[in-house]
Amino acid sequence: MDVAIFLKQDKGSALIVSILTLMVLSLAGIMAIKTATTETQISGNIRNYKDNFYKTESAVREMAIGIRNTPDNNLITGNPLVLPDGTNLPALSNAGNLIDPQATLSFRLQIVNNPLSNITQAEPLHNSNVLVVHGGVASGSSMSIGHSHTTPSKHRFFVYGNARGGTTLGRGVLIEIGYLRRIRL
Amino acid sequence: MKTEHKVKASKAEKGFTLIEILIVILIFSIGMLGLSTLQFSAAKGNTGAHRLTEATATASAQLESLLSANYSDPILDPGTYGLSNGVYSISYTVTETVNNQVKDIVLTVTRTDDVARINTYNLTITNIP
Repeated sequence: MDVAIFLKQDKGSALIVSILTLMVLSLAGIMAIKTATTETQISGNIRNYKDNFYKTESAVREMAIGIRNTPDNNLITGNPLVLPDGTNLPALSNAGNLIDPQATLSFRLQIVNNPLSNITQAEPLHNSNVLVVHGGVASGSSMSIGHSHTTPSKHRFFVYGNARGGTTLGRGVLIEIGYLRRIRL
Repeated sequence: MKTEHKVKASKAEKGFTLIEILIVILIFSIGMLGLSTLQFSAAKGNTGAHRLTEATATASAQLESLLSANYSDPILDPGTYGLSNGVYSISYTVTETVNNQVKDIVLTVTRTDDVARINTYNLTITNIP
């Protein structure tokens, strides 16, 4: 059949038109699904954010009690931190390295004997120790590390309690918190 | 007198045959059925997202009011509490883990007409002046 004659024929045009219309409608449907998926992800994120937020706040509060219960001198020497229930954390065995004592709390505690060494060296009276707390991020979240410290972790957050001042009582402790996020490549 | 009305359609005026129309309707209805399922699931997803956001806000409001309460406030006495906020039912359990110093709270928000969605939050309150 000649191409010109083939194009001039209208037979079967209904099929073409209906298929095109359906394609346009399918696109609209796909966009609706995409919007719904995004919406679900947004609210899931909000949920996880809130969950993480309150867990983090809890960790900070619990840490504050731990710091308050610890004899002042321990914060300077890196000696055991006293946990809210009155028990000591295992003694710092290897100054300068991260140790991993199993705390009786729902998170584990790590003590670093001052990574901010320039401050200690410059001013020995203003020793500072950084107390690091591992806390759980909401389980099921993309940032989840699970509720238990024995669960393999993807992400962690740290609480830094930075005790500064001399050997006298009444030193202030600044508690900070931050996420350490592992990026999946 | 016999008249014969013979309408002879010219080639240009040729319309669709019944069969053609039927086929179009068939294809369209099949497509439309699929599309309506798509729309339904999209609407369902949107509703789920909306409810999750609402439940999160409800939980957050309750947690904030617990946070702002004094450590010795009756609403923070150890035990289990049930509240309701519209279609959401809130329940939280307070346990004092360290005497007079630390209270752990587990708060759960459930939608009364959708028990499949349960949102649980953990909070620790300490007795710090």
